[in-house]
Amino acid sequence: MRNESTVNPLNEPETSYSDLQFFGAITASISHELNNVIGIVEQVAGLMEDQLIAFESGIPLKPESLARVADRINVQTTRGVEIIKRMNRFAHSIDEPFIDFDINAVLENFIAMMQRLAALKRTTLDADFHHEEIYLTSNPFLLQEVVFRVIKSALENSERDDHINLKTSKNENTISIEIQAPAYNRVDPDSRCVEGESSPLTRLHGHVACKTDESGNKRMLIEIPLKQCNLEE
Amino acid sequence: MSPLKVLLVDDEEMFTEVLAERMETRGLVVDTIDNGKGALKLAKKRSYDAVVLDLAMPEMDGIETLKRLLRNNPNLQVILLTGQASLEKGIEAMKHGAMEFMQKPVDIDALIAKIEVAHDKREQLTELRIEETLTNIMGRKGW
Repeated sequence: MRNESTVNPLNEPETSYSDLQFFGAITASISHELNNVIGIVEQVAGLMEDQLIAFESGIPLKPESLARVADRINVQTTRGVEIIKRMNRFAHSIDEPFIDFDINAVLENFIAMMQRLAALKRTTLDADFHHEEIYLTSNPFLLQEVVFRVIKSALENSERDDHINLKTSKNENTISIEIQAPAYNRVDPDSRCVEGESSPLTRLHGHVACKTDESGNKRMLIEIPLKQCNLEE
Repeated sequence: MSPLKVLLVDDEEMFTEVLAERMETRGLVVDTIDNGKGALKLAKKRSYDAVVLDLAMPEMDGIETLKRLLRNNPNLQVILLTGQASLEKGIEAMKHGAMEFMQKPVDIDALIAKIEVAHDKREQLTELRIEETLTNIMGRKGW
């Protein structure tokens, strides 16, 4: 029996140059962060060398100084490992055109990667996810591209100490992603950042709407079908 | 020669902390700050041989900070540090008056060598300004 929530096509989604630009933007941000980590570790290694040279000329080594060096290396190593794990999860989101995945897990990883871009605007970025998993059959890479475009657009009009929030929820046949940003109350949210014939949202057969809640706060609401392709019946 | 005075500007606090520690063991006097606005305030209050400035920072990036620093003090020598290997950014930095553009990870001895050059340049510019001022005064007095 045909599932009414199923959306064609069965084929792979078309790719566009904007997909490559999105991938480039994310990897550039990650490489910048990793370079900072390496820069710090390099200086800490240099500091150890300085202390060894001083020791060789008769100045005693201080245990607390060595402890500080070890601590700094640990902090940066942990940071670097975390960055690489997140990058790896992001990179593997392109493996399959359509897969079953937990949207909250994917977006949690992606939002962590967007923190640096938000921090450059002195803006905080967080998400309210259900405690439960929300599974959909879709393209996680394109989904992240949609979220990237929305957040990037919100950040353009962000001010210091702004707070951008994402919320996900499951409907009968769709998943909703709601984005709230103070910038939307200064400049109307522009859904053109995700609209368009070959935009990732269109290729996901999704929709976008700009809404105002009871408190008068504007938000952007994205809806994506629960299933992007027919499963074997 | 009195110790070289440097202002390190980078939003990565651990980076400036460690770099400052290494510079201080080499006899430099170092202030650190993690943002462009703070750098402008410090540079107004104190005299530095060089400002070492990160390119990518929140709110006010390195290029904007550079422009404002030089507007307040045209003789200030600014060395831009960046993790982004971009020739365009380097050219832009030099066009806006940076003395030097260096890529992270940075070799401390190479950086200190540039700071010494910055000190010499600043001294020369200061002497030139004094000469010009004296020449103007003498000219007005008809000497």
